[in-house]
Amino acid sequence: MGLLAGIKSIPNGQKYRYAVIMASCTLFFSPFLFLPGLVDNPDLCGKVCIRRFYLFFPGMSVDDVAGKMQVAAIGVYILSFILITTFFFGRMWCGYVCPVGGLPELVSRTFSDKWKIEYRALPQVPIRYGYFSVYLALMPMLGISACTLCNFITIPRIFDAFSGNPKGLAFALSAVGLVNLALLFLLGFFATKGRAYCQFLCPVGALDGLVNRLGAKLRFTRRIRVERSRCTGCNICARNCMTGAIQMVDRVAVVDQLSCMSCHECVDVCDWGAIDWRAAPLDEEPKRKKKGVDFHPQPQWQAVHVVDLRKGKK
Amino acid sequence: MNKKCRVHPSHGHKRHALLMICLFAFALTLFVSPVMAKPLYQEQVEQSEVSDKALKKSLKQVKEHKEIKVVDDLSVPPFHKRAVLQTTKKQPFCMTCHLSLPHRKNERSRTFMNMHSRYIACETCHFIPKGAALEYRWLAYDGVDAGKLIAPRRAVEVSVETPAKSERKHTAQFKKREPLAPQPGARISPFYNDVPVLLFKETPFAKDIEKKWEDADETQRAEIKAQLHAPLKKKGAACKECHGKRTPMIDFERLGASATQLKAIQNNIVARFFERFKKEDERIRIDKLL
Amino acid sequence: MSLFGISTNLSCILLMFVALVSLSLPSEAAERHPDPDGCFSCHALEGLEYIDKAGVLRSASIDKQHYYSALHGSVPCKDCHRKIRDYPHKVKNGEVDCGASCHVEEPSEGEPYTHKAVVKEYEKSVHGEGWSKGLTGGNRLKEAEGVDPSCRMCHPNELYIGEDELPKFKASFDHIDTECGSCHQGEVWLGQFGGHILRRFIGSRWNKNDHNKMCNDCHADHKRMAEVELENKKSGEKEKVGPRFILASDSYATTLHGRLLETNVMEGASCIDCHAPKGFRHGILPDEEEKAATHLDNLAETCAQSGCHGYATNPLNHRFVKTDLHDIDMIPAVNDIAPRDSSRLESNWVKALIALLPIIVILGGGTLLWRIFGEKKKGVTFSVLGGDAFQEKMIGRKPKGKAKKRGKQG
Repeated sequence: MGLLAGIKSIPNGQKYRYAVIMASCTLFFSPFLFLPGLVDNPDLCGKVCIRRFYLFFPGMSVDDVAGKMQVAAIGVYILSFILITTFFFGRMWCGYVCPVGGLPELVSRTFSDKWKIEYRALPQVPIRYGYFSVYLALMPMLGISACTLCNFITIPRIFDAFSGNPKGLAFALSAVGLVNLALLFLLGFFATKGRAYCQFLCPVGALDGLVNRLGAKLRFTRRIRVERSRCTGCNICARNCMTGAIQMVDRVAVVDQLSCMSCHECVDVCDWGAIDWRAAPLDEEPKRKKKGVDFHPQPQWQAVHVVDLRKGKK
Repeated sequence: MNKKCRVHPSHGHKRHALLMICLFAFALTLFVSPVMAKPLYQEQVEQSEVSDKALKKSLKQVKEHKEIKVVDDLSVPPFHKRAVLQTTKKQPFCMTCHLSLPHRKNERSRTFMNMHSRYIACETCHFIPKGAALEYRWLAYDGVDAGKLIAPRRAVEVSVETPAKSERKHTAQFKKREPLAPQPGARISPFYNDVPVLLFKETPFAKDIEKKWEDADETQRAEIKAQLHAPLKKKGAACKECHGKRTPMIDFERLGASATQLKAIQNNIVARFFERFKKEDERIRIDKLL
Repeated sequence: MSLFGISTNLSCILLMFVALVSLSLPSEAAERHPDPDGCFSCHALEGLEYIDKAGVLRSASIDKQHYYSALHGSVPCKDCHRKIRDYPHKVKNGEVDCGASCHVEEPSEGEPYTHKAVVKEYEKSVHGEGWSKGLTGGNRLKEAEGVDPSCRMCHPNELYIGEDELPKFKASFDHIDTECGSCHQGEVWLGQFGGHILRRFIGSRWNKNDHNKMCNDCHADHKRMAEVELENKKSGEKEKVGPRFILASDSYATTLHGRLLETNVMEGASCIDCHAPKGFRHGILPDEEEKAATHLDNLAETCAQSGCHGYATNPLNHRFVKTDLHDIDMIPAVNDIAPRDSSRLESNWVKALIALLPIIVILGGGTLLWRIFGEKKKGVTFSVLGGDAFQEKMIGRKPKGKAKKRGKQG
């Protein structure tokens, strides 16, 4: 497909999402650094880091934790904001705003899927939460060196390197930088849909996924929900899901709320309107009722289906 | 013959008058304007004759001269805070060779004499020509009217100002002496017929000498040196000339000194005890000084 | 009328004499700080300067107001310049020994105050050869040639209360009678001790940045540091120091401690916070010495100082404690002192290429080739690696290749 045709084939909703990601890249990364610059920060670390307050060392007291939260107060607020919006609206930060995940995704989308590595078939949840628990438990050993492995430092620095900041270039050429660069290529550019890092390694994402799943059962929260009776099993949504959160079980789409990033890609490509980002209404009366008989089956937008995925049966 | 003399009488008178006026004006500009007159020191340098003895001495000094470079900042700061080296807009010609603090060899009086160089011109003590009546007045070396004679201050009685009690608690307040000088950088300088006797660095004569010195070899330099120093006194006026006598060399009252200031100058202890202990290398017990 | 039995005339003359003497003396009003030896009668004059043979400006003028407001303000001149008796002062008599005791009595024990203990600590330190006695005005030049700093190189006679602290001090001092005075009654106490205690209460004159500046006056001067020779413990010979020593100040400035202090955030550690945290803070010892605060065994305790990294003493944190705070690899590579020769170049490019090249070549190359030469198929593309697994597990249909195989077989 030619480039223009390729661009035209992007659903409108997705064009909006790509635009937001690109905007956030310029706001968070150099050379503009607009948002971190508002608090006099040269990058996404230090004051604005949303992860550092849960780093801990042997011998730390509760006061130390409180102290860390105070020093990284902005980061704490940002993380809390992300988690609260996720609870009500799904993982909007991950899907729409995060420049660190969004940048590899956009780059990855510029070339064909054929020459990429397909990670979406791997069992995400065990890998992701296994890594996350090891990450939390290992933090006393990693301590501050967790920063060197952080993707929130890698992507901005690589961006730096390409925008002329020598700090980025120095990072990219260091041992840690090269490892991270390799990960960026393997899990970012050359991963199908580009979000493999987000799927497996991002601790913010892991936390966010838990909150997403927590709120998904509640019917007033907005999530990607499937209307099983409308789903024809055409599997366009599963193919296009950037996180591999949709699986076809008995030819019906099932969304894994621990992985879903509410990016709406599935909504935009579903021809049958069977999947949507919406709250499940608490009470929906059918429009017509004749002697207690429903003419149309009630739409049941469900976010979470309890499915035994091994057997594929309900 | 009649024809020759038949110049119109009015024309002839006019021409004559014109000539007289011109001559008179010329004389006037020559003799009356002080700007055109040469400083006495310069005149004397040009007129003086150098003796052989002086020439020999000068040659010896030129040969043995060692250049002293002023060391600017040492990594070791001075322990006590002290004042900064002074520079003025107009610098005396003497400074070309002798630095701003010329006295160095006489251990007991060098600092005191260098102190005096802040408010007394070099020539005041070192240029006392015989037969010329010099007057001593304030000359500005700094500021807008540098190089000009300035009027002395009105004689001010030393005011005793006790700082406020609360102020005294915080810092040590000390009474400051009223300075005699009418403005900072003014120095008592000799005048001859209302013309300053001394020479400044930027005058053409001074520049001329500097140029000659650069091009000269040792003997020529010795000559120039001897010539420059011929009208001067090496030792300078003694302390008591100003600090001891009833009629001091410098008329302080005319310079704006009040009665108390005058008394302080005349009864200065340092001067008195230098008088008492005449020998240069004699060490004076300090408790005897006070 | 007679005065103590002396005749009238004589008493009048006596009175007049007294009056004359008191008038003829320089009229100095009663001052707060007496000058028992009368030094200031000459030394307070401005302009007592000369330039000595070496070209150093020598000044005997001492700013009286500054002196009495400075640290040594209550110390009479002769307590330091002990043997001066005659004028002109013999140079040897004017020598100052910083370790001598003076007549100012320390209020707690009534002992004459002395800096002896500090000098002792200092003499044991790395800077031990710095002059602490024999200091005169004239030997500043000679002293400057030495490598080690003398007492006065860092401690000239500064103001007792620094200029920038004066407003704070004044504001507090004005309230001293209502605050301290509510218990400590009496003008005398307030006058004598109030200022003394208040000054220490407001804070040390030197903050961490002042400490750093003092060290950096010598240690940031690369030329000067390049001349330093230290004894090699093994061979016993004196060798010139390496780039790590010379660039110590620069490498510190790249660390978080240095950068925090540069932006006036006092959370950073200054030079002596690590190198001489205890005692009089003059005892900097070389790292190899057992008692040094920066010795490997003592580092944990040094880092765990109050207000700093309290958990550093936990043995699990030993790697934290061993962080190199003078890492010259952090300094920009362009310098002549530590040139990047091949021994210091550790490039991980070789290792990285093993990871990166296959990815770039295979996947990137494949992508490009596919773009140019590949079949422009419309429809769904599944990736080469893992596409089959995806189709089977997530989508639930058999991949085409396998179906074909089955077809062929069965």
